[in-house]
Amino acid sequence: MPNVTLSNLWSRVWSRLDNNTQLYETAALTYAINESIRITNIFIGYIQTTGTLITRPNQVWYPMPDGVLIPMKLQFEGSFIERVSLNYLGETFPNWRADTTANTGYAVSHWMTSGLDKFVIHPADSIGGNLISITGVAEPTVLVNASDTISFPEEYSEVIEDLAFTALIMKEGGKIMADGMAVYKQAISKLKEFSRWQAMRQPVQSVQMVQRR
Amino acid sequence: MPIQISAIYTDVCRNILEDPGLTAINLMSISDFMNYFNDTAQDFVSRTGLIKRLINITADLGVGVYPEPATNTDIVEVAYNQTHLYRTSGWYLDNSDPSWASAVDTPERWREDELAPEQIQIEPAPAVQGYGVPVLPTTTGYGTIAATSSANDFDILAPTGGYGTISSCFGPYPGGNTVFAESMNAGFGTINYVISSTGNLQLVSSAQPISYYQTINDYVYLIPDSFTAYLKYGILERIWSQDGEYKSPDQAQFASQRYQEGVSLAAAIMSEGGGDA
Repeated sequence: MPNVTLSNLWSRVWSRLDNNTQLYETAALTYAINESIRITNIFIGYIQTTGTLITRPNQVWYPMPDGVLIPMKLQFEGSFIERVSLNYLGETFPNWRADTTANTGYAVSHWMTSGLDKFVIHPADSIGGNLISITGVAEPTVLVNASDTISFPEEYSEVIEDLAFTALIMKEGGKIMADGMAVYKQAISKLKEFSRWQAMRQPVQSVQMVQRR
Repeated sequence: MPIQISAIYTDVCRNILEDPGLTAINLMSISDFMNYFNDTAQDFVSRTGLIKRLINITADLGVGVYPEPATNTDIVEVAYNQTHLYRTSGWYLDNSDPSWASAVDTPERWREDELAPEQIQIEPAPAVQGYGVPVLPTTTGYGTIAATSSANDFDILAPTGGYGTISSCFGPYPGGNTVFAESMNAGFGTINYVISSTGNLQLVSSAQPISYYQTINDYVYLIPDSFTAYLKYGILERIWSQDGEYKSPDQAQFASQRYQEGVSLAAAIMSEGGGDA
């Protein structure tokens, strides 16, 4: 993935704004670029990280490891385990809060998120000391100085520019903003094509439906 | 890196062409901005359910109706004594067992319809008293509260702020003493090892974003940095929609569209692959 500097992004966005550095000053541009990077990253999850922690005996709830913004996959001692929903866990295993690998005889086989800051493993690891790895979308690094760099796939760079452009021209209102709506719609359309979350929906629901039967 | 509310304020000022800040011509005050900010943050968190809270409530013998703490919005799940309760309705209970309201046994169901706001009811009412160590409403809890724990599990409900380190009250791990602390106001210190409460009710619910007065120099509370970008649009929608010098229907409409995009995106993430559904 190519590295892009903030000054390079300034140039690209300013060129879309007729290089009007009076109306669109550097601070506003930087804010809009960081906002666009964040939003693009939420949609497509191109900045990812893996956080780890060690299980404690019989502990069900865990805090999300630092750096993981939106968790996607969890490995328990190297093996991926099935992600389920709170409703599924409650309806299928009513005593999931008290279930452990010792009292059920099952290995740790499910996980679920509880908001973005906590997750649950089921059944709880009765021994503890095992490794949990969670892979998920991470917060992008905030660009501050002209030489700060960020790397992202080239095909997303236009979307980031489009979103920054529309965020900046919003203050003008009228025809200029209305014209920018087309750019915004185009950017959102591209983001939806790239969106990671669309791909995650069907498999999980299918697994749950099969198990409920 | 946490985001300060002042960063959002600055960008909102740019967008309403008040770059020096709202105090320059005083068409709108900073407290007006904070009102818009609080309303928007509250709306965003409650509609997306990004952050969930675990709230333990002491189960009282023979009592079916319990108030919900002010720190949560909608309840996603209720458990009693570590067991999932099934959601039901008053209509179903009335028609399946007309005498349900007087039943006392192990709770199996919960409902929140036909009740006053911010209340839930479990049915049957508990047949045993849960564990709890109340903090007097007129006092503030200071220092280490580990000494309050014994062999049982406790909830500590502090209507006023709690200070000091309370991590040690969770007792030796594994097993041993476990304490859940929920403060109705700002609490300081470290809380470790969230666990499910035995003998009591545990609610999983969406967090309420504002439990104390915020100022423009505070950090955005509960909303992850990446989602704070959308707060600006919610605030601008409110500013541009109101009658006055800033009114601008077309800009309000665009800001509204961006804000709804954020709400939909966050809600979709929370529902995909293991959310509440």
